Amino acid sequence: MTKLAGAFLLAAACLGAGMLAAQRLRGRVRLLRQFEGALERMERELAYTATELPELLEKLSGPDGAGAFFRACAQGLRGPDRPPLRRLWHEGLRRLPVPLREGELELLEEAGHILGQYDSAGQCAALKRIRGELAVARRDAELERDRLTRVYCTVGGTAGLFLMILLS
Amino acid sequence: MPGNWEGQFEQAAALLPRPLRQGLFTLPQSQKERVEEIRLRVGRPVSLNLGGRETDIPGGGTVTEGDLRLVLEMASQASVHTVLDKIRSGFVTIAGGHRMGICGTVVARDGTVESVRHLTSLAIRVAKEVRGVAQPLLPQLIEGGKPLSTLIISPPGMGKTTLLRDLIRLLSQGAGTDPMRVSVVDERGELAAVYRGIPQMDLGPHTDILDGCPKAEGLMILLRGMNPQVLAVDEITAPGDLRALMDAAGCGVSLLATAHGSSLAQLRQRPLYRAMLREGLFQRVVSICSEGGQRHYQVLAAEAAS
Repeated sequence: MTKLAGAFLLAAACLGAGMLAAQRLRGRVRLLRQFEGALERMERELAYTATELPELLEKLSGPDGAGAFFRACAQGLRGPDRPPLRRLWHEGLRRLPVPLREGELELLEEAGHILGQYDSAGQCAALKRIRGELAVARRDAELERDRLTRVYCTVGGTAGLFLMILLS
Repeated sequence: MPGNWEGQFEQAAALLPRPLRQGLFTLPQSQKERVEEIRLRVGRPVSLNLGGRETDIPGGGTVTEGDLRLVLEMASQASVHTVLDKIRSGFVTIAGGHRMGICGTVVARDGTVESVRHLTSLAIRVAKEVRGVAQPLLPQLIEGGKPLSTLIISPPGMGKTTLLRDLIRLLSQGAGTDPMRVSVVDERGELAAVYRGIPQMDLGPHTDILDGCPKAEGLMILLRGMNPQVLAVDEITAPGDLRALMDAAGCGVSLLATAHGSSLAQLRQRPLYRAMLREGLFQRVVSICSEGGQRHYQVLAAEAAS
């Protein structure tokens, strides 16, 4: 009986690992889409109202995902001993709930180097370019998600079943 | 004279990175009250302008260009795009109404300043709200219950803006006359120091503030829309400002304004101000001078001035 329970747990763990990997793929797509939307909103705010960054980051704040990243940056900009925005941005990207690929992080890092450093038009042009490249990365991530989600779930489930048969 | 020097000084000093500002917060209160400017120069310690005399503050190390960049980022709320036009003019007005002068390598294009790179020094002028400073002058500035159009002149850093701010507040409150509807064009954000829509300085209960607007346009906007009894602007420097003031004076509105000048004689040597005095735009001129660290105010009839 114990052997059977152990085998069942192992099988469930394999299936769970597969589902978790699939979940990360979906999370990456969602996060990239959130950043894309946020950059678009930034462009609009900078172009039409030249909003100050603390206010802009607060507007983009949310409970999770990219919203939580912007909230952390906005909070970091308060207070007398705050570090430069560039550093806050960099540290925030390293704490994202879903790890992005190096190329995607580099794109977002670039946005952190531009924000607040140039005139509105210059920032908007740069954000637009970054957003375009982010859209390409998001579409690649979507393709990867569509291709691999089922694979991860199937491999996890099959591996679990195989282990269960092997151990029981 | 009641004031809020300590709060204002500490607010200005808080812009500095911690190692540089440590020495400032431990200064005796009497010294804090006398601070007019905090000056930062690359490779030098922080220094203070105390009543016109500069004193180095030891112990905080020397200032680096990175420090200056961080101070500018703090001052602009990490948003250079909101202050770029002011950087081009050589100074930025920051939360609390403090003015930060900027020096560095200028990037010029077609003969105009685009921006400043490689910052070399910053001068943070501490804004001071000195309540009641205009009170003793009021009897000479009001006639028949109506404020007389008044020009305040002095060299830079002598307190023109402080005096104008208090005059606006008093007229708006109704000191020496009925409460007046005062409209202010605060192009540089130093009079009211509006921060996120809230004036940081008290300009009185019946004052309308047009913040960040060029003076000439602002005066016309206020005339058309706010039905002012008194119009106030800080630092007249351009012919456009003068034309707008003349239009406003023609509408029967009292004017309050400031101009740089060490004396009336010097003011008359400059064509813009000579024309202004000749046109009889102002009925009173208040001249500020300093003797032994004390400010002295002299009210003159503008006819005598012109």
